[in-house]
Amino acid sequence: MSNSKKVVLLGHFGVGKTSLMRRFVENAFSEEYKVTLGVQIQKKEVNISERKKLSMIIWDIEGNTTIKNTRLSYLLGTSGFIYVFDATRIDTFNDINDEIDYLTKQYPKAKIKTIANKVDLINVQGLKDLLNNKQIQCDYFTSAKTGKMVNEMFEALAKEIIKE
Amino acid sequence: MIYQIKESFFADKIQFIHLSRSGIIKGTDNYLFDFKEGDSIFDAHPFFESIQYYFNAEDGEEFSIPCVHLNIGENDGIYDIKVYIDKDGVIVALFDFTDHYNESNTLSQEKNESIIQAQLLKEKEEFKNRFLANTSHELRTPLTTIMGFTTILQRSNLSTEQLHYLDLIKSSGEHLRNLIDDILDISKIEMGRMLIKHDRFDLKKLCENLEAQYSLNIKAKEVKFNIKLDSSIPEFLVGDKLRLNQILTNLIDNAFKFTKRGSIQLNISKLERKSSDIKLQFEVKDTGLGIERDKLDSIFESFIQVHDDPSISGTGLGLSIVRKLIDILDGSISVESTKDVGTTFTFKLPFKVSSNQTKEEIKIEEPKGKSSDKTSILVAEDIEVNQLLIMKILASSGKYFVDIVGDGDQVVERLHQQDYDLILMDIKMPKMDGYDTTRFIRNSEIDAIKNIPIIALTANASPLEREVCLGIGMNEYVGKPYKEEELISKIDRLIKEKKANQ
Repeated sequence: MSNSKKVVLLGHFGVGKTSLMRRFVENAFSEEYKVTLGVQIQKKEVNISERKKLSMIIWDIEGNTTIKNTRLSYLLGTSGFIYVFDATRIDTFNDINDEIDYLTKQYPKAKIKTIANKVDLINVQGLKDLLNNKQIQCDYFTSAKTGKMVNEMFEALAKEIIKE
Repeated sequence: MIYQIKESFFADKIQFIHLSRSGIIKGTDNYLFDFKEGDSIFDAHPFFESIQYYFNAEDGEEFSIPCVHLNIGENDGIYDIKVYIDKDGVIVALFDFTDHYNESNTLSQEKNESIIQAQLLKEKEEFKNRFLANTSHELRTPLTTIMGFTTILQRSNLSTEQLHYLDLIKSSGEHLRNLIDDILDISKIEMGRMLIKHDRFDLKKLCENLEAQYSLNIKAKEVKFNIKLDSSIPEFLVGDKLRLNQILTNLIDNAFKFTKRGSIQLNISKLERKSSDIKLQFEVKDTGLGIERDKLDSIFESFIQVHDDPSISGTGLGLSIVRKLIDILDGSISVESTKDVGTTFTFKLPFKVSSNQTKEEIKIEEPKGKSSDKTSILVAEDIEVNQLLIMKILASSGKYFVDIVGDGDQVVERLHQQDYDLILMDIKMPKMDGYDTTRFIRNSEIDAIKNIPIIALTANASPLEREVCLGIGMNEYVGKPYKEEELISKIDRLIKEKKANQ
């Protein structure tokens, strides 16, 4: 068995899941929005320490307004979930606490990270205040466009997964 | 025969791969992808590596993973994948649905793009609305202080010149308040949040008030103002008096702005009446500057001013508000104008005729008991300069004892220590705000606290805010910046009502 783990990108459509994967795996970005149908998968090896590596197999699945509508076969066997929302569209994070609760209950062993993407377009402090008011926990504020915090986020998740 | 046709039809669309439980390829038909026996399937694509946990399932189990993008070698497509666990190992079946999925892709793309655009537009509109509401609040608070202290200063011993300067400050303050109201109104109309009322009102009275309101302008300018009300129109109608008044005021203000001499005429006539439905025509005619023909089309647009004269001020929102209000009241408006001759705005609006055409006298009974007792008022206001203003206003009337606190917690504390006749409640306060404090008071088990009259004093001046305040149990509402007379009259009315009910 190779030391690889499945990681799934979740969230509404158009939040930048594909762009985050592309930025992390290929270090590339496109402004053009192209809908994802079903799932596309890419792999990247992450150095955990000098001697330890982890292959993250990233499932970039089609956007959905709720995880309950996502095909179960896409979620089974997942070690880490990255729940992505669009920092410019409140509709993509209004129900995030319910979504994260659902994930935690259904997949208690999986690690979960909550990501605000597209932060190059907003005032981050304003978003933090808004999230604070709504009591929403957000782990990383990323921009697939500029690359801000993208590698850091994936690598932190890899380290958490490997700790198990 | 049929099986041969079927096989040839699906041959290039399906591939079966036989694997060991450790992922080694034992056999494959290679219809879609070129795999070699003995190789590991996990090296072919990370997808297979990530489903290896399926391979340890019980014999007879099967799994289905639809719509998977696979790009292996030169082949790039979208596949539905089935995994069958068998005593001989694992069978993976790949079904090529690339064409089918690509067709639905276009529809999904269009649908998602339009939803994203709509959400972004909504965000922008809400941001604008929040910004305008906050700005309005921030502007009103210092304006309240300016206007309030100007009124207080006018009562002190000042020279004629100083009084003249104060008049100028006051009229500029009024002007600023009107501009803030305009900006808020246009935003509310555009957000569809303008509430339209259907109340009984006295049209004749509304006209009399307009005449009184503009009598000052008549004195100041060489312009006659006259209202002609068709006598066949019933006096009491049902409609939105506030908005009708706003439309007329905007048009008449506009007429006064552009008319230096001559006359301004408001004609109100009956167009048609069917049963209780009545349609009226309003005509505001001036002998002013007039508007050039090529500019007539754009005068109802927001932020458009057709006259370049810098001495004529405004936001350019007045006529835009007029047209939008008339639209939501199901009416229509038109304009005719001749340069240097004058302009006539004509609008038509539907109303209902009230079934009650008798005047009702509203009587407030004089309070029982001693009326000479001073009223004790608790003021909840956190901003020091506003506290000082209210103190000055109330103290100068000589009728009130006033206590001031800075937040909702202190209001509750004071109410349990002392009896008050009324509370003036600011809304935005630290700790407990005006809403929560009111809810707390109305849920009190002590009748004297529970029933105390409360007047909201808020810079969030809007009909919606008024309804919110009244809805949670406040008795009155005064928007900042307020007029001293308005505040005092509302306090006195509530105190009279309270004493009459005791």
